[in-house]
Amino acid sequence: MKSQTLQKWISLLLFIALIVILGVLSTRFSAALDWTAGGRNTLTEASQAQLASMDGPIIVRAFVYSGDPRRRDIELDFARYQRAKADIEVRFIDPSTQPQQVREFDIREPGQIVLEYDGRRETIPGTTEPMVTTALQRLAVSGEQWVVFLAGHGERSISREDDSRALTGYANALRERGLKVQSVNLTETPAIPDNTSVLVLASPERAYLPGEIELVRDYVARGGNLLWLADPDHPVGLAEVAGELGVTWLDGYAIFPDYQVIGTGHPGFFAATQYPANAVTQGFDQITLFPLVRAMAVDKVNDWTMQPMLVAGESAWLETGDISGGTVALDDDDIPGPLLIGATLTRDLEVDGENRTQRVALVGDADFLSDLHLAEVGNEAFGLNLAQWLALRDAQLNIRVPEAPDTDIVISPLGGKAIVAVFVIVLPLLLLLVGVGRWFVRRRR
Amino acid sequence: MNILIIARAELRRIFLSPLAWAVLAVVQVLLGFVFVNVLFDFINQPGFGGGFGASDVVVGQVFGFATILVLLIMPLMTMRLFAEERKSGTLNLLLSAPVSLTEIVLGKFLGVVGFIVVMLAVTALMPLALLPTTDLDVGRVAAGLLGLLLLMSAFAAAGLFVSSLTREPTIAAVASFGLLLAIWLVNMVGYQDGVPFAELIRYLSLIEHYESLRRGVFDTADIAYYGLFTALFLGLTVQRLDLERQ
Repeated sequence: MKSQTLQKWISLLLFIALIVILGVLSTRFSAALDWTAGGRNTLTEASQAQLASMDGPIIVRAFVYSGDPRRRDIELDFARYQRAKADIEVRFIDPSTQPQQVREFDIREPGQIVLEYDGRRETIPGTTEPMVTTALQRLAVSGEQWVVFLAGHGERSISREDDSRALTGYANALRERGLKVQSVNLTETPAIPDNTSVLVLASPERAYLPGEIELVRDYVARGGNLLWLADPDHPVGLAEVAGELGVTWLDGYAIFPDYQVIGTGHPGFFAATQYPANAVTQGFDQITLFPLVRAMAVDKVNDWTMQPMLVAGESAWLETGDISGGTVALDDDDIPGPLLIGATLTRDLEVDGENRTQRVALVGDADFLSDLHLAEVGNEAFGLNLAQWLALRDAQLNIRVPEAPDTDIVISPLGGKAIVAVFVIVLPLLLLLVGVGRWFVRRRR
Repeated sequence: MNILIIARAELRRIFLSPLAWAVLAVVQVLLGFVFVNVLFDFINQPGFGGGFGASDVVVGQVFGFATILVLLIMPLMTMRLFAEERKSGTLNLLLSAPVSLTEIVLGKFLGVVGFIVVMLAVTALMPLALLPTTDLDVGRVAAGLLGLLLLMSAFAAAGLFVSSLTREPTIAAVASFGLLLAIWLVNMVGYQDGVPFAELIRYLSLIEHYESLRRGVFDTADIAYYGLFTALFLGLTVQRLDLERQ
């Protein structure tokens, strides 16, 4: 009897051991099939090619509270990437217990994810494949790329902490993206550095000296990329450079009579809700806010190709009169809409024997990137897009993730009512009636 | 063949009682309510702001909510399997019948699986109703249904084992609910910071393996997990009855 019991226990242990061994084997040798239409759980070839081109580890830091079920989704989303590249490490950081990490990585809200590769970082708000792969593309670009802000003529500062008009936050955001940022005062060092990837004219308030204008002109003529922000509060100056580009900055403030509908709270605030087809705003769907803007007109000169980037609609106009009086109206001196607020210029040219594309971006406002307004809805993302595009760091590959086949549902109102009736009322009642019937049969017995 | 005979008897017993029908009705009301709500949200906001489809959002949410429901109902469906027989004294008859213990356990288990299939058939009517309205991602829905089937079968095996331990169906129900909840919640522990063996803990959790199926990924490791989980508890039940037989 005793030995029989012992035997039973041994066979039970063996049985459990067998289950454990099979469990281990099942995880070691597993295959996954994607049953979704278009294989939406599988990485696109673009993403796989991107991963293959990156040697070296990638660290993913997900700022999600401890125990939050979102961690599982993030893990599953990155598992697809880990299957294609083994040295991707996902770390979860609880923002409530790691405030210093939240500060270090500049996390604004839980759920943000920081990708790190080769010492460079990109922050993304989610884990969809376009988000992750585009960020990886930007991370993969190495080399020193300098964004140079000219100074010395009342341009927006990139280092003053006490000035809400300064572009300090924007400069920091650029640094986080792996771009080098510096300020060059032309009155002290009369030269634009040779390694400049993007030159920024951040709305100068005072006129440039002829020699300085020549430096900027020469920079543009030699194929340098330029970001030109021109606030309406001051004369733009640099007319010779504008002439090279074919741009005419129009003086005055754009007025938006339907500001109450959009809810900006001020008739001089331009809220961009949709964008014309432009490389900078490709796939960009956030609202951007520009406090007090001027408009521009662009003529075709020097092989430049112009693409509108920010356009104000028919109802807007450019008020050339005084706006401090409090009431404005469209009169004969004003310029009626639609207005061109932002544009990009591109041209192909040969520099030192190699062909390349030169890029210029023009915006009739500088406030949207200032510390006061950078955090408004999509402003920072838009500003970063601008810099990335100008630094030639925009996506070389276009990631087209297959869409779900069933994004649209066509249902008649009657059909909708029928679905509600059937699944919430009729079907449950039927089932319940059968049950009650059974119960009656039982009681009768 | 004995297995099928027992399974059929068990299935008959399940559907002769009002409980099964009441459970089906309640499940349908709750799932139908979730389905209709999410469906109208989705109609008002096609793609859900990210190219998501009806099978991802609408059906996915129904299947997500279904997991909580089946956690609550499966203990009710399995509590009587052996406890009732023991209480009414029919268990001894069954054990002395000329069938092997394995056949008894598998037969009863298959009977409950029959009920599960009926319930899933009713649930599947909701995605089917969307077929004429959109180009439904059938593969994804099928993976989700398979996931529910595996999850509920695993629940059934665990409940069957608990039911073989006691003579009171209510105790069996509460105990198997507690057991399932523990294996379920283990998952949350696995996502806490600073927990040792977090990966192993997550692997052991019932819900972890359902998630990828709900997304439409058929991973052999997940299928194997449910198969092994089910086999483990069926095996334990056989062992337990074997002790009783002596």
